[in-house]
Amino acid sequence: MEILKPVFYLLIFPGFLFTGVLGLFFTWVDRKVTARIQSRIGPPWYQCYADIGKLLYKQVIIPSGSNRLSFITAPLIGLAGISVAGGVIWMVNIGKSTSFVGDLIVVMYLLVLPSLALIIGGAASRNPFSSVGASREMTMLFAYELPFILVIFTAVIKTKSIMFEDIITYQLQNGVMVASASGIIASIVFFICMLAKLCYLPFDIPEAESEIIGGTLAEYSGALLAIFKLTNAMMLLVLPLFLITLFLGGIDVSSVKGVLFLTFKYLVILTLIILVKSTHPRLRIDQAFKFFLGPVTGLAIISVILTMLGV
Amino acid sequence: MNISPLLLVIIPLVSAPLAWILKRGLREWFSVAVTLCVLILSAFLLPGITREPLHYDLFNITDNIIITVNLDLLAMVIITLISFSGFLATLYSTRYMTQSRSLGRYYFLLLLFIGAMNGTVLSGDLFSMFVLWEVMTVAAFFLVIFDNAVDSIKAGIKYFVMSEMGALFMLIAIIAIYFQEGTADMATLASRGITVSSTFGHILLLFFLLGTGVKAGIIPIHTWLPDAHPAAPSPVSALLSGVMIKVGIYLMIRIFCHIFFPALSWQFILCAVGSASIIIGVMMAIKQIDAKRLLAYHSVSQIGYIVLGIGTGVSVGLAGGLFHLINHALFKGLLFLSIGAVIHRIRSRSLSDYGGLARTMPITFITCSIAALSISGVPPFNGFVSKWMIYQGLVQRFTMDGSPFTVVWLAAAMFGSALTLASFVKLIYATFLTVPEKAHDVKEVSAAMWIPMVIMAGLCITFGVLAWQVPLKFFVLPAVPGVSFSGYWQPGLATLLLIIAFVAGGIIFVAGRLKKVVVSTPFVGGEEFETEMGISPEGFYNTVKNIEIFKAIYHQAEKKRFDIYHTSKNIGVNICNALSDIHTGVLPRYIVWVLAGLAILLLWISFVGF
Amino acid sequence: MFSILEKCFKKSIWVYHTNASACNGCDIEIINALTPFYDAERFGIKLVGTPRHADALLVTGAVSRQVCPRLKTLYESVPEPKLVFAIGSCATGGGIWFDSYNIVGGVDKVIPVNFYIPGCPPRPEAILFGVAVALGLLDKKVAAEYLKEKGFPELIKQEQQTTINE
Repeated sequence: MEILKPVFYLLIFPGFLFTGVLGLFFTWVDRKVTARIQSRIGPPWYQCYADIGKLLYKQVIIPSGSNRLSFITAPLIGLAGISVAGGVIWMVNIGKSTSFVGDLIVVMYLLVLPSLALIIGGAASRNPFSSVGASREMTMLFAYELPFILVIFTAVIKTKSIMFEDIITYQLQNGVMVASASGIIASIVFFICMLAKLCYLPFDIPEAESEIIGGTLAEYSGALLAIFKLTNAMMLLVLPLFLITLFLGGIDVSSVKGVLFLTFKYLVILTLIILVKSTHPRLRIDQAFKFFLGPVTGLAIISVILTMLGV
Repeated sequence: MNISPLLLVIIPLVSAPLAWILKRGLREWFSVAVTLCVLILSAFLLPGITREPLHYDLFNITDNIIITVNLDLLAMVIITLISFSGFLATLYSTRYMTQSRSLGRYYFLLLLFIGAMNGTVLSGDLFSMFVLWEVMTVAAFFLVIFDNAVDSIKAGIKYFVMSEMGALFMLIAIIAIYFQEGTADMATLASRGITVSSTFGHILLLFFLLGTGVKAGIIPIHTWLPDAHPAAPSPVSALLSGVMIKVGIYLMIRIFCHIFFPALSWQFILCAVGSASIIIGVMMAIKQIDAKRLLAYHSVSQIGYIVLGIGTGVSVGLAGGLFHLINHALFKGLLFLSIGAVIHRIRSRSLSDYGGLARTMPITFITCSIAALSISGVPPFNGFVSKWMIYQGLVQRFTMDGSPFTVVWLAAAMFGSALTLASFVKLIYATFLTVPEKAHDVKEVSAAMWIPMVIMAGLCITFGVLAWQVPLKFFVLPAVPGVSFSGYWQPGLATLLLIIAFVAGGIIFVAGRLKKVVVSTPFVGGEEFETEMGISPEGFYNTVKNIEIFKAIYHQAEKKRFDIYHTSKNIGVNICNALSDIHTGVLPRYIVWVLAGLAILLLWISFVGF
Repeated sequence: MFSILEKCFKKSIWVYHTNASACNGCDIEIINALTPFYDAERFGIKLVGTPRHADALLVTGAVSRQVCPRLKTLYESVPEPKLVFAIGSCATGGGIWFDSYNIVGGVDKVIPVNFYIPGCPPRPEAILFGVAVALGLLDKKVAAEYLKEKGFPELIKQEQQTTINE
């Protein structure tokens, strides 16, 4: 019976169901705020749930000549990865003294799984546009992993540990990481890499609709597409929570004040994401590659140096 | 005197000539039986060695040079690995090598190779180890040039020359140690613990690093690896990449961790060399379109991880390096065997000739994907656990010394993992997932070939999911004392959760199948779908290749400016050409040389004296 | 449970726009309908880039011979359940070109059409009205009777008297 508790945590409460429902809600918030920025009304509150429901109602078409095993299991791998990663991040924050399944490095590797799922899905659909999308997604992964790793190291260097509870207790004692010069720069770089991981403008190159007909998702329809959209929604919830855990002091759900503070922090990050998304055009793949391996990595190295100097 | 460890060496060496003279059908099964015997013997010895290590003398050559056998858990683990991979490779060869002639020579060399590797690891003193090291090198040379093609012979000669140069350095170091300490027995040297403070000690360590490094394949002495491993037949490549490299690492562990006191400057050099190998190996691998050359560059990269683990100087890092050694033998062997299966059917090593094999060779596809995910370090497979331990070693080292270089090594290691994933996505896409029309008349390989692959894939999964129960408990943690983990990873629970989330997604998929699932041609903007559409393997990373810095480096690498063998060959040849200009063949010129030399000699004697 | 999903279908329609030899007038009006001024997103309508993601096909233009097979492929690429809207007079029945040598004449000769939105080009409000009718949000406007009854009662009486006299 002891095994049922983690399963419950994963599936229902702060895992799959909870993250999925909240993630879809925040996707609606994103669309509504974007609509307001563009001086229009925007969709009603149930829109994202209706999208998922409608996709479940549609027929699933599998392209002939594609590998069925990879085509069908690719979205499931992404969903599994983000569920477990989200579960870890929620659980280490809620139960402060217990470790759930893994530590910081485990979460970093699990967060690679949704991007890997997009790539396998794109490679397995027998469509030249999807393979171009898969190649571009892999190139983006190559580009943003290096600064992502470097800024996570600023947290590791300060606390000299890779366990989440050490990072959270450090922030409780010494003040949030963002309150230092290195922390601010690291948060900015993490934010930019987060935009690339979520496939949001200006980095939504692999799913560019007007350029490569939908990119890696070109051949997906019906329930498989619903799983991809659900994975995207969950990433929208989990990645800012990761940022909050590492740099903004963690989540404190033991009191109402804590929950309000958490909501405030999350909404600030979400607003920044929406603002950047509405005001920037899409970059080309080589521009994005040079951008990540140039200025962004430079900023990340500066933040690491500042952390080592103790600033 | 316990004879059973010696049987591990004697049985293959004695059976090797027998395998040559046996008849065709009998020969293969005889070799398989021999390797199976060796595997069972090592499995029997393993629990005993866990309780107490074996160390005894064989016979004396002089008073001080004694041939000893030293079998502690580290050596036993590697011997088990060698026997296991040897057995699977021999089983695989029975079906893979059916088209070649002169198979007697092949099985003779294979058994000799396995016996020599076992002997190298088993020997307890430096001289006998060196002799068996040379036997191993020679056997590997003849195996590399087995198919007698021009490229294979060139690759084999390059491997042999570089290996012998390294062995020469190592011999000088061994003789120097013998003269300084008076004994060549590794256990005695380890208990004395030689300190490395003087220049002599540093030069000794440098020579040992060169000697073992050539065999292991670290930067910059790795250049024989990308030529020799593709040239050999696939089961031999699996053995070369999987186990022979590890014998070099084994000796490196003995020298740097047991015999010499851990000198901090050498830990730094090991970490630097390891990180450089990781990044350079993977960056070169991304560009390759020859499948086996790609895998050979990845061997260079993963050896970098192991050397990095050794160089951390922390127990958990060393344990991580040892576990990565075991894991790498498993998944690199599996990769070479599955690509060998593809080569066996398609008869080409180039990625452009492959495509769409997932439908016709499903077992190969699944095992190759498992190996690719393991080598990239995706949880919950085994590669992730060993890399996780190496990262913890680096973090603990950073806690101790706070040097900024440790951050650089850690960043290089994690970035290398992402690049490894990139390279294997390209390999899996080009081989299995594109253009299935090319693969219509290809069938799956026969049972003797896919059974080893399935066994290795099963072990990859088991070592990953049951990491705490099986490999760490039995193989790694007893061999390395004092390991303390600073991270948290529960692979069993994680796998269970991943499977549950996977099933939940599957339920969503099934719930959505209200109307029937249809198959139809892919949509390409309404045009007719041509079969050759799709991005090619050369073009997969065009964006990366065309960045100016990378373009310049790749261009120089194409011209082999970075290849030590090639560059020293060119320098040597140029010097000799310049010197040979002196021998003009004109007699008066020679008389001038003689008279000038005589004049200088007379002046020297008259003004300086004898 | 399925009825919930059916209701979801009406609330979120993703459209794919295709041009089957149109003069681009209707295309411009469709794009107008998707701009912030007319705001199609409040109905849940989104423009997608591939027919695999689409629920509704918006077809404009009188269908020419070359486009014909591609239009069929496109229709088969859209997963069930699907709607086809023929936008503009050319799509409805060929428009002015209905008897031209290279025009098949109307989208319904190639693929089954669910809703017609005539006009040359139809205003964006008309396009949105058509889509709202399709979604069941509004009732269909039956224009002809209404207009006839509204104006010119004397003329109608005169016509009726002429028929009675004959």
